[in-house]
Amino acid sequence: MTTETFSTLTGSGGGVQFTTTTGAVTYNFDTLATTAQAGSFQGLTSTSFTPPTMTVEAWDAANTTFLGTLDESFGRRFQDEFSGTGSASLSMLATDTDVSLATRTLRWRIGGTYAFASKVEQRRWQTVASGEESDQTVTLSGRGIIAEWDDAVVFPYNGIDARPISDQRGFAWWSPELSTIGWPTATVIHSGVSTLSRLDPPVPDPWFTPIGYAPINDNAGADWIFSAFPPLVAIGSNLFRATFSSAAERVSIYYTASSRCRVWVDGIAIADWTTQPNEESFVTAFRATPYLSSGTHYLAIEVDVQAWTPTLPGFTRGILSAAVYGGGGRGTPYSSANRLLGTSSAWRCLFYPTVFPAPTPGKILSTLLSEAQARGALTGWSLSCTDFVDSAGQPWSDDTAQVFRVGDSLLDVLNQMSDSSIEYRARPVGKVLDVYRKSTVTVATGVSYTAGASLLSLEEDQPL
Amino acid sequence: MSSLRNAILTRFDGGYRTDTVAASISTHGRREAFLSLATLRSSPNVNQTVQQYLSELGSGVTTVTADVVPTTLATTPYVGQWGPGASVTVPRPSNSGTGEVMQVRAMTVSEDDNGVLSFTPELVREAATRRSLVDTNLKRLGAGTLSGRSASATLATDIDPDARSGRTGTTEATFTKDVLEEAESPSYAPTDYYVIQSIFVTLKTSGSTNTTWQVKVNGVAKSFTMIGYGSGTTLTMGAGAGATFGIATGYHLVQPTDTISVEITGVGTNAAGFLCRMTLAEW
Repeated sequence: MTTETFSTLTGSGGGVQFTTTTGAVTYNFDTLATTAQAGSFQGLTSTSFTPPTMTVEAWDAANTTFLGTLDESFGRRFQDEFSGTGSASLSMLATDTDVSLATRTLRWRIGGTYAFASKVEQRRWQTVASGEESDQTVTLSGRGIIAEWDDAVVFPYNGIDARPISDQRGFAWWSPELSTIGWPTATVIHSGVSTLSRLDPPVPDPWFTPIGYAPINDNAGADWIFSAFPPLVAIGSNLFRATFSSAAERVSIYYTASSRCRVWVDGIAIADWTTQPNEESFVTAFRATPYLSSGTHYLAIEVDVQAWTPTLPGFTRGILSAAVYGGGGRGTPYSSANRLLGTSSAWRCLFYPTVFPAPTPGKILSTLLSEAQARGALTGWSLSCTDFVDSAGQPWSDDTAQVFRVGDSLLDVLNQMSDSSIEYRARPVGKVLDVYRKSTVTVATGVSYTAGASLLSLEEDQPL
Repeated sequence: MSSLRNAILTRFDGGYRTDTVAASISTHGRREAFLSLATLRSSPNVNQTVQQYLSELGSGVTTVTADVVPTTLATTPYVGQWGPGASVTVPRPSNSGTGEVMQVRAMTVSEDDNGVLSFTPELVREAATRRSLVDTNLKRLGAGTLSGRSASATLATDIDPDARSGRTGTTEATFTKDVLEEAESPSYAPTDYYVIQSIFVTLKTSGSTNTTWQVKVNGVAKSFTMIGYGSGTTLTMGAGAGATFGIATGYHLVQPTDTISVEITGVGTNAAGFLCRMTLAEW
């Protein structure tokens, strides 16, 4: 025991640095015996380094209420993983009254610092030697608290009653979760489809009513649009998005493109490519007939533009014409009265994007977490990242699409995303998930280990 | 398992591709691996990702497991305010003990009977963490999963099985008459609900005077617009008109109980070879 006189105190956890009459000195202690204040101070160990000890605390399921310290536990061990669940285990005598406290969450401290939090998922009783007084031990083990994300699953977009229906939940440029704010608006190349039907050459106007386009007297309902003006007909994809509202009904989506396209509604693919690559679609109309639930729907169409051979000189090329009709069906014609949407300058588009955008990881996780919590799952959990920046304040990348299966657990989601776009780690205090942009986590510590001094052993695999 | 890989077969949402590192192949021989980028479609995204993998795997990924003995508070995990995700410097035996900065991927802390803690970090060279535990992922790939740890990665969204889609259903009704006479054709009975969407008319031999005709539904002449020749229930192909003409329809609807016929109401002088082809679109 030493007594020092100090003037300032800095640091946290188990290490506290004092500026004393003899200079800066680092002390280590487990319990602060006296309120720190300037002046004489007792109760500290000497300046020589004392390795920290481990303590384990029992907390409630919410990890917010302290229940007690498991002082008599032994065989304590935890593994704290970056982008993994981790695990922990300890043993106690069955007669230890603290056993009843350790039922939900364990917090692990190194020195005075909370290091890890784990769930009590398994309690195993073991008889050491029958007949002895302390003949039973209880081993408590479980994964890190992030394992609770296993208790919520991916639901369909807009819930179980939503239509269209899919066994997958995608987050990509075509999903509702990706905002199109900031996307340019489309350019109308030909206003309305031609009132004329297609003619054999000479061709007065190639942007005719596609063969099979059945809505009656609604030629003005859908424009031929492009993603920019003047049109630059290069080979590649252009992305178009629009929204519309419908009642709960089966709708008809008419679409055609130059050269071909495919269609999503509410992030669910409803129509594959209209034609093979290098084949033109625009001569004929295509139709998809999904059943939709009532409400707002998000239509996304990818147009794959190929070289136009032979070219039609003198004609400006539109690349997409599409319209959505409701309230009709077999025996009831579609007309302008029941058109829900048609291609127009109000559509949003991306002009030959080099990278297809996708919702940020923060947006994906906040969406799934809020949905789960609305169902009553994952209570108490929060994210320290936002839709725009990660938990370190770095902007998210927005170029990685994710597709999950409905029914995947949110832990599956985290693991899948950690393959490509995130790192994650649960804080030991409370239920906060830190999520970082992958490849950018560089917490330099300045810590350096030296063989023979601070390293007991080192195993290095043979990479070659 | 060696983690060196210099030839990657990649499955992305557009097919397969292979990428190689020639220098590494020359030195170490071809070491292949499979990588799923199932959710990536655009080439720039795929290029970027594959090149990152190759840059890391071309010289192998080193994983180091250390048993460390903290000698100061700063070097003590957690107490020193660092843990998984942080970087530390450790000597690399494969590089004459030269220290290298590596990232802590996991930290195992265990306590012996005397209460002494041991710290065992699992370390990966920082550069390699750009694709985090590639080595592990490849092992998992080898075990049969498609995308690293993603048991559920899929190539693309499946299509709503309830949404039928495809080319709009159409059918054609054709009426021909080689030797023209003023008469009504046999009836065509549609088998579904259709819109008469377009009509093409050809005279194989044009006449020196007009040829007139009507399209009838259930015996009633319907009004159409004929390009360049006006509109009405009686359609006229002028003298000398022997080419193909298109007709914009009035979107007349027909159903299975209806009949469609064509009646020639006036024969042009020497006109012959009448062909009328209607395109009907389902609705």
